[in-house]
Amino acid sequence: MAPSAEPSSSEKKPPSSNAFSEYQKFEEKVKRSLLLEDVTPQVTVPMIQTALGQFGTVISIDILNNPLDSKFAAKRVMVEMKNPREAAHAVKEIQERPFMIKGVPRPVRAIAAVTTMFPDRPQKPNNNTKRTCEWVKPGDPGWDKCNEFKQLAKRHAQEAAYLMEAIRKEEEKLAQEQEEKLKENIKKLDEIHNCIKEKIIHRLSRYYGLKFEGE
Amino acid sequence: MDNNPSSTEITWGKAKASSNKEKKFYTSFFWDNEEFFLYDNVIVYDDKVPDGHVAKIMKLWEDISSGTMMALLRWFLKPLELPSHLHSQVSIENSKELFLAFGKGKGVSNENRLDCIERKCKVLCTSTDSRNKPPSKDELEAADYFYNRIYNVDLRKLSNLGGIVKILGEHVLFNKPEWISTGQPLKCKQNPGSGSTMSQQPVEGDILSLSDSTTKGLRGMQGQSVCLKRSFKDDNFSVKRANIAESDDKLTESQPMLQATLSKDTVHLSSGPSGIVQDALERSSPSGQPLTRSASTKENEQEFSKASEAYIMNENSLGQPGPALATLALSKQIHRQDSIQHPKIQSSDLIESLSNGRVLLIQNVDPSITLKDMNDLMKSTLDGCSDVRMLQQTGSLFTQAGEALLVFETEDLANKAFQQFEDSCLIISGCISPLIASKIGPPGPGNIARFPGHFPLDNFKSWSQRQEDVMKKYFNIFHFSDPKTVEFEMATEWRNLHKFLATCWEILCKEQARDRDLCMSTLKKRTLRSANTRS
Repeated sequence: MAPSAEPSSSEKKPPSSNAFSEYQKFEEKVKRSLLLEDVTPQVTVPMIQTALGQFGTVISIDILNNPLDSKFAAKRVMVEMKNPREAAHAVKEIQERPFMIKGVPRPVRAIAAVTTMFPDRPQKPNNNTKRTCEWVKPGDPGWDKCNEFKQLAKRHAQEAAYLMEAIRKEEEKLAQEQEEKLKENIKKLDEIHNCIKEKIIHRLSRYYGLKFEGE
Repeated sequence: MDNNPSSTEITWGKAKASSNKEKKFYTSFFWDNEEFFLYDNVIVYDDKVPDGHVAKIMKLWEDISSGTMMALLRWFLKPLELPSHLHSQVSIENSKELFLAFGKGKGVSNENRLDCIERKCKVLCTSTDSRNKPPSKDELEAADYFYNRIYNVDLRKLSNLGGIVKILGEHVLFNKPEWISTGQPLKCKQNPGSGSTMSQQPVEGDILSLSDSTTKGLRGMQGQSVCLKRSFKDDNFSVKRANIAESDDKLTESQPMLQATLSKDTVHLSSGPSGIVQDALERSSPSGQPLTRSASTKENEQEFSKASEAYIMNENSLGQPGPALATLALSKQIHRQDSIQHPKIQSSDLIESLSNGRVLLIQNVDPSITLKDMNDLMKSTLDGCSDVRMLQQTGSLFTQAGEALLVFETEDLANKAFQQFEDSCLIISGCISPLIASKIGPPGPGNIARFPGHFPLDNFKSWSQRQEDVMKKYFNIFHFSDPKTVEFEMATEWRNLHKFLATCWEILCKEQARDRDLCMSTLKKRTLRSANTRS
């Protein structure tokens, strides 16, 4: 389903054809792009610019906005690098080691872009058939088939929505757990810090006859 | 200004990263409920010149040692200020034309304290450069000034902008998207959910242009700001609220954007503001900008309906005589990077349509269908469909099929279309499965307080200053996680969770694909059987 796998250069279109070259440019752009996921909703362009600047030159950054998302849902960012090698390098690095942008500890994910990620892409030049659509009514010959598929699609959409909800809940759960863990850790460290500050440890070490080497 | 000085403090907006030890640079500042950005045009007060001087803000900084807030202002020259040998090339009387100063000599720009800036000024660039968005005739009439030429102080000549665009930058010279309102029904090419990207980055992050609503902050004689909110497209204004902010409000520095004009008196107006506006409009062509302009993001969208923005009615459209009001295009800040060439649809618009029940969610769209196809098809088959947006849903956790949002002009039309989708099936050529529609409302606030997975910074407040700095540094920029830290452990937990969830999703997708195949085969069998029985 990803048309980018097709070698468009093998088509025998006249090179001056506008649509063809446009599509080629688009495909090339796709090869150089990557999609960042799980980015904090407070992300800004300069942030991404500096963050990904270490992998190469960033040509453009597109923060994708889903109007249906709640206020604090993760954002996705489409980043275009200067050449495919840089993009692949960035994807590889981010996938291997946890990379964090403005916020710990949830790491950012990266995947290479595919053409279906760009709904406003130019038309495939070979595609001469214009898309049409038709309404199939209950009396028409294809109605049964259509209706079956429609009901199926509805069910699938509901299942998908349910899974998304479940995923969200899991994420929140993990976030809760981690926060608690963090609080515990901080408490523990604070206690230790306090002990040293108040010289409690020194007294204890004297009491036990042990040597305490600390600051 | 005759304002009470204690009420109109200047506060900084977003800071720029810089290694300069004496100066801290910023991209914007707040004053009197307004945010002034870099490259905005302002009027500078001068008691010798009644109208003041027009200038463009080029740099904003604070002197670290003294704390003074300064700006580098590049002057615009009025026709009368040009040397006499150039008077033949310009029209002197009644002209709104300005010339941007350029060169190495004196008089091009000056460093001034921020409190010499009186107010914003609308100066539109009428250059026909492809990167510039030229204003319409109405906008030009409504603007304070316009310019398309520069005056070179060294050579004492006028020349076009083309030569200096490279030196100064197009985001400096050309019109910012929010200054121009297109006033046209939104084309569907401008889809924020799409992957279209831009070739050059504007300086500020997230600026978007609203094509229909207008905004302005007025300063009346008494220094009052009158802000009216307008909600609709087209020319039927319906003013939802008029907030009158007293001039002796003390702006709380922490939340300029929310507090802004959420003042005591909110008056409901059903039609034009008439008296209130007229009184406040003594000055011709003031200019202003929305109050919710702040670098931080999503809150804007959600607070939109709380009228923390300032709009102003166009006097002319209300059929009232009076001082000519300049109507400006509002820019509502959203977290979208945008290209100057392609103003995108307002997300705030969409939220409104969502709450009005005018949006349908279409699912099961074949991924090979592009936005353009969708656009054409939907607009031609469904009446009242004013806007189509494809939601970019591909990623590691999304279904194969795409989704789209259809915005209708009225709720009835949306309901009608929904009925149509329910009663019959809409199939796009080349696809097997029909589209399904559902009605959706605005997104709920959710029951989480912040982005799950990111810790708030205040957990570390009790630590020593040095540690807090380190944590701040970590929080505010990016870094690869160090395997020795607890943070790394937590990060791996997130990754594992994600892997797990991705596998769940994959399984679901596989099952669904299997269902579809099964459905296909049973239908085939059924048709064969019926064909056999018939024959």
